[in-house]
Amino acid sequence: MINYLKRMRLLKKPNRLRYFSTISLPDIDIDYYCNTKNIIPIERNIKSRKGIGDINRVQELYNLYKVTPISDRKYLSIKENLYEELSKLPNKTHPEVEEYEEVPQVVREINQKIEFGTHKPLEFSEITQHLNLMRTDKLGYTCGNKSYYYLGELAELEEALIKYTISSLLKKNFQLVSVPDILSSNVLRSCGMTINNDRTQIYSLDPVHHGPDLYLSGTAEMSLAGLLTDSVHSKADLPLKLAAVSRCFRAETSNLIDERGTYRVHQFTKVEMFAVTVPENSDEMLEYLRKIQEDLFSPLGCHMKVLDMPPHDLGAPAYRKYDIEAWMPGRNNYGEISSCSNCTDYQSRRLNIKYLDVDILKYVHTLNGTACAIPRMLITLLETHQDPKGKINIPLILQPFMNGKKIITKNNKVPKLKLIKLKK
Amino acid sequence: MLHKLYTKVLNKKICDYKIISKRCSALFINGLKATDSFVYITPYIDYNERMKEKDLIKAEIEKRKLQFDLLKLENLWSVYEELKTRKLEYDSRKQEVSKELEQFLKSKQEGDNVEKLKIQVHLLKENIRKLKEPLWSAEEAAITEALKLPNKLHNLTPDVDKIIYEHGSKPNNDKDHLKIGKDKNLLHFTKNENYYLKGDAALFELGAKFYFSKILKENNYTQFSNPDFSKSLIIEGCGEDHTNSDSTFILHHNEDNKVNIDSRLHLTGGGSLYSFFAYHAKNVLYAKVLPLTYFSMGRQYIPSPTEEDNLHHVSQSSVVQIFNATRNETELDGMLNNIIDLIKNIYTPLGYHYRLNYVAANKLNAWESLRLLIEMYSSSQKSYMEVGNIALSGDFISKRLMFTYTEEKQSKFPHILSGTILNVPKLLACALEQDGEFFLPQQFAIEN
Repeated sequence: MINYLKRMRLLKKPNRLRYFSTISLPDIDIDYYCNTKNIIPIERNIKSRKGIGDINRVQELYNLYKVTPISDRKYLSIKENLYEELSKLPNKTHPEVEEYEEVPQVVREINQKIEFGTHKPLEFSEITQHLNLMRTDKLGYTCGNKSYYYLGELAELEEALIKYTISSLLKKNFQLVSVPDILSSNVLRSCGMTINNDRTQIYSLDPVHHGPDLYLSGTAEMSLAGLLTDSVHSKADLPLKLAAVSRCFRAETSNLIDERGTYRVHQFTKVEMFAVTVPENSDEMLEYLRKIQEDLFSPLGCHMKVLDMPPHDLGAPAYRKYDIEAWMPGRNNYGEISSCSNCTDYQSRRLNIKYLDVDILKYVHTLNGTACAIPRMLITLLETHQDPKGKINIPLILQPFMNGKKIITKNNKVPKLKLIKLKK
Repeated sequence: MLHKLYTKVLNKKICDYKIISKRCSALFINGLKATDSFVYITPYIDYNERMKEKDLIKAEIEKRKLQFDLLKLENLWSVYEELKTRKLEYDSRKQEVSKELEQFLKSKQEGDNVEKLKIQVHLLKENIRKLKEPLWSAEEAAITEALKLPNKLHNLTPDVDKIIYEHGSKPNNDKDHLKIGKDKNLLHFTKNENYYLKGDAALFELGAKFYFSKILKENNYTQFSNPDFSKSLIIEGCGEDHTNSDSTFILHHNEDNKVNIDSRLHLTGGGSLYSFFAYHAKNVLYAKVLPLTYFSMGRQYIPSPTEEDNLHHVSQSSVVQIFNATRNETELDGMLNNIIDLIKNIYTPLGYHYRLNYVAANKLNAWESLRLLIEMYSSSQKSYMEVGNIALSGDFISKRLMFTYTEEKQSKFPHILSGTILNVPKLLACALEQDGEFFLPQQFAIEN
């Protein structure tokens, strides 16, 4: 309880961090990371994941820390440095994945590629242009670069996808949560995001106007992890399966030709799954989340491959990660439409999420997975189900969520705009 | 002699304007500033038309209880007009003299006359040059002040709130949605900037949006999915102060170039009037496509400067936003009646007590000419609270943001009706405080 109160005070007054540093530090598994026996596998893991972190530096600081008496005034700063180095280390890697070297393993393929015959399939941007379903041009001066508006039936299709996904997840006993899109930095960091001031992946609010510590969430995973911060669950309540529909904000830009159009955008809607399990069950839960993704995407009729990602593609928090790549015929390429990761205790140690096993508090395992990320799902659907005559066939399973509509045709309800030229 | 006099007067004017030219506008940019930042839109200023009804403006400012100094605007405007007229005089005089000179030169004449004309042209050029900066300052001062002039009032706007419709009777209890939300594990509320909806409350959010969306589509509304960011000029164009961080969230500038206070990104949400004007600004349509009936389902982000923490004041809301563009006032009034019927058709089946209220002139935003509130009774607040609204703004914003249409080869401005007809957290707050147990309205079931 006292610890809890101190933590609360810390959250309110981040500038006091130094005086209470022992409490605010993430509870990283020192027994494992600072045991000299483990140096070689840890070093190998860092290297294969192309991650940052320096286990030798950790050892140095740990040895110094061990011999420094608590009364020494350097004690706190040594401990802080040690934990800072420790928190840079990536999660462990699943033993099977360690063998993959640099290439993803194709777990399975779903649906055949659609044959277009002599008709050359069009790209999403061309289809939406022909059918007047999207506007992306000349928006830089009014709402920023890479902005997009979905119009008419394309916006309806977005809604249908959310309804379809959520109603499927509710049937599988996921609990729906509505999450905030503006978060403080400690939650983001604990989820494995690196935050620096300038070239960041993350949007933040102007610190002068709105206070120093407000960021736009990149995914509901962060907000859901934030909800669970400092929570204790009874073993009987696990696994916890949560789902959220949220706006996601990504500041990253890309000049790659393969990521043109709305493939990589700054803002989009996503349905996210988040699970909390006891450690023994997280492997099984990862397979379960992957199965849900496959079951959600298969009836949409697109060709996909499920990939078990190699160590260097895992990022820092994941222990194992599956990506699903869908075939986008117009782009003539595969594109990542979802991923699901087992983060084991990487996030729970940083956010203090525990469960009570008989009378011992232990860290839970957390997992997350995409249930539907709208922009790329729309690219996949429109490019796959385009008709040479210029309409889009709506997959059968989505039709009930679109008021029974079977096809998307040219949108005549939104008139084309014409830009006014400035008079000199 | 004349030249000297002009210069003298000018110098005085320049001194006058140095002080007040330090104002900023994202919407109106001229002079040297226009070389620093790209001018995307030049707003249409209807000052002269509006001033034909000066007494009406005065009366409406009074009704709105605004501290607007009309005299100051008039003075600024007259100086601007004076300098503009003077510049035009110089321009035409210069043209005349140049022409005369040209003829002399053509006929290869030389002598005193030619020299005199040359000096005159030189002097006129010099005068025009000297006038340039003061004219910019005067123009900026006058136009930025004119942009602050509030919209006209609609004839339906009352002096005190006016209830025009009421459905059911108000609940009678002492419930508090925050307590119920916590007890029933429906709400995790930290502060206005951070809250989570759980269980049936989360279903309520999605279900309510889908229900509104369905009925709007049945009524010939076209769905939009809009971006969440707007630039400063759109914020100012829509009648808000883009530099005021209590009115919109301003994003941190993380680009390499210098921060420009008039060209920031604002987090407004796709369910906002801003996102619809970001779409239409500086564009022209044909008259035959009007009226437009659009809606979007999305977030709305508004800072919450109040001390009061509850679902009525949260800074992130899921909303349904409508946007209608009509040809003229008559068509707009017709649209208003349609919308009122539509609102009744949407809200009545939900079974909650609600009422429709035309708010008093003094509560309107400067850009609004009329606002209708959809209100429900809050047992915790012991008063009626807004759960949705619609606003008429006529052609006020269209003119500022150059949203136009052409009819009979003339350029005209569409008249706008817009509004957040559903604000989920506000509706949920009142729904939780109804008599009887909270339940998810059957219309909000996701399977529908």
